[in-house]
Amino acid sequence: MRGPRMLAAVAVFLCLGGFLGTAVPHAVAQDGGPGAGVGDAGGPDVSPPGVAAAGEDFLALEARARLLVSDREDAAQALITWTEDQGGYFVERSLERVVLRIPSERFAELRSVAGAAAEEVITYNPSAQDLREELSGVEAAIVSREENLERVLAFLEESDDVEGTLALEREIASLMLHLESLRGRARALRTRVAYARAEIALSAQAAGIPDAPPSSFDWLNSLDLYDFLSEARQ
Amino acid sequence: MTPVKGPGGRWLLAGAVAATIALLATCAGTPSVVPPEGFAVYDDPEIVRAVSPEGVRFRVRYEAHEPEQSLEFWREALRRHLERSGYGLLAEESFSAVAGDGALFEWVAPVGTEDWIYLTAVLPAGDRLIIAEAAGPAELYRARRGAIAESLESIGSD
Repeated sequence: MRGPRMLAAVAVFLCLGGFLGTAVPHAVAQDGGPGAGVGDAGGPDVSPPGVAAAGEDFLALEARARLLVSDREDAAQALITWTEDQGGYFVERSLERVVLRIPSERFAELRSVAGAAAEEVITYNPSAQDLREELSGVEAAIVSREENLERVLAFLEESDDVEGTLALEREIASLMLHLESLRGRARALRTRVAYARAEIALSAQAAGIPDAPPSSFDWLNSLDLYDFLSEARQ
Repeated sequence: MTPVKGPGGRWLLAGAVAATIALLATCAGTPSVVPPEGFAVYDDPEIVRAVSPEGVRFRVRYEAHEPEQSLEFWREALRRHLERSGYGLLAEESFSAVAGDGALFEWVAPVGTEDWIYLTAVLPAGDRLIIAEAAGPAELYRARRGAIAESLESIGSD
């Protein structure tokens, strides 16, 4: 009786996996779309695994920057607001840095946006990684595993001994697990292509006045606003 | 009759004398000054320190007047030193207090991303200099400026 129930479960799995994996066959989400609130490796499900279309973009864009800002909170909010207005999302936010996922077609604007939010752009380092080979490899592995699974299911249908059935069911479970992992990997890679990653460190200006040469009179040397404020806090 | 502690009699008189002596001894190290109106005063035996509810700070202290010089000398020395230190001069004024004439300067300096105003004042009083300081974010300081000025005019030496 396990056989038919297992068969039904596998059928449901295949249908569900097939739906997720073969939705609308375009490689990159052109309008980005808001993130589903997931983390960096996940992100929105933008396209299915499958044979890459001609002219498809496989570049994963990234930027690392360090900005000198007058107010870190304001600067972080300005960057996040711009990102969300473009259809992106933030992955991390703190006073020290923000990590953003920006629709790749908007990535080129980030440099000027960061400059507008800062007193000075200390460093800005963009980079790109071609994921064509990796993504093609993962998708080929998915196709192969799916074909294997179909064959095993066919064997299972014809199996009439307990030991053989058990062995086939184990093989099916293993294939299903592996397929899910591959499909997740493919989604992650396509998200990296669809959404550029920007890691921006925020440094605040430490305003102050230069140290004074000492006076010949001790009491004059005791006149200092910052010492006055420090003493008041004690 | 055996003397007893408590109200009345020589014990009460002795206690009052002792308290007065202690108070005078405590106050001998600090200038006589009426704190700015609305400020809370710290309990400090050596410096008159006060702060407003929004954080404008004020303090007055004695320093040794060594070498003894005129007000004009100290006015010039103070201005030069803080200008060289990088403070921006906003205002320079003379004022008259109970203890004599003094000079005050208002400076601007950054604290974080805000502009603060820092007041420094000097008043020669015999063998001591009376030094007054006040500071706060610019708008908050200006709101308390009148009270600070009245406080400076109340400065007397013991």
